[in-house]
Amino acid sequence: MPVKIRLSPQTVQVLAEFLQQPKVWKYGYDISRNTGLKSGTLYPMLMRLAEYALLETRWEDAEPGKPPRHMYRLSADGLRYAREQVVSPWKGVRARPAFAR
Amino acid sequence: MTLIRSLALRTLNVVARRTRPEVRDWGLAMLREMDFIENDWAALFWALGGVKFLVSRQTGSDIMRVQRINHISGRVLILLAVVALFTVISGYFGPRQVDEGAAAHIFQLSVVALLPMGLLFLATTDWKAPLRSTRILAIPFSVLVMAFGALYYLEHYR
Repeated sequence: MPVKIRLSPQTVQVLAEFLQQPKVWKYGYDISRNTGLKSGTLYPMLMRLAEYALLETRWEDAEPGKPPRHMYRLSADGLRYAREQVVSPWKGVRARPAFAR
Repeated sequence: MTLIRSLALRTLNVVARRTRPEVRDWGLAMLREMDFIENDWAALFWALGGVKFLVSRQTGSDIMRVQRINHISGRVLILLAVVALFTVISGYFGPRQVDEGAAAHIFQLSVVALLPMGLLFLATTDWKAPLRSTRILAIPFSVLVMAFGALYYLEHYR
């Protein structure tokens, strides 16, 4: 299914942030700090990515007495999509997988 | 916990818990992240961003409710500012008090209450039409300036 998500520069920034460590679950505030995006900009984006199944979300197993934190990482589709969309800093073009036609 | 952080937490908490179930988790997620924001002002802006996001995800009937809250909070802001002004004015007519009287306490309470009400007003404002909100905010702001001006005159020149 083709992904119909509006690709703003901020979305690319968030995808790039996830690509730094694709397997690692990330927290919202850490993503906000690393990308410089405010909560009102970041969370609608995360929610849309999750709606398109590009982002996996889960609640952290919290310590007793502490509420859990929400965590995010790219799904397999999300990872593929992010690699297609994120601009390569070396080539100045959108990085595509080596086997893409 | 400071007043700013407490207000930010409460505001986001109230909005997150009253939002639609499919968005609530995202609101609670933002709320939880606030524990890891060290700076109080950053926490406040984080909460306001969160409220803006949650409000923007509301449906038709929710939007009407938000507009109603905005309308009421705007009126309460004006009322609180007017109460603050009148309590100061009342000081001109009564005998000079050595200790703080009831009017002083009413003044302090109304000024303190202006902050959460102002946050509620800003959080529920429709920013597509900022002029309307600016006009409403200008009224309590002007009244408050008059109240503090009158208070300054009362304490220093009378």
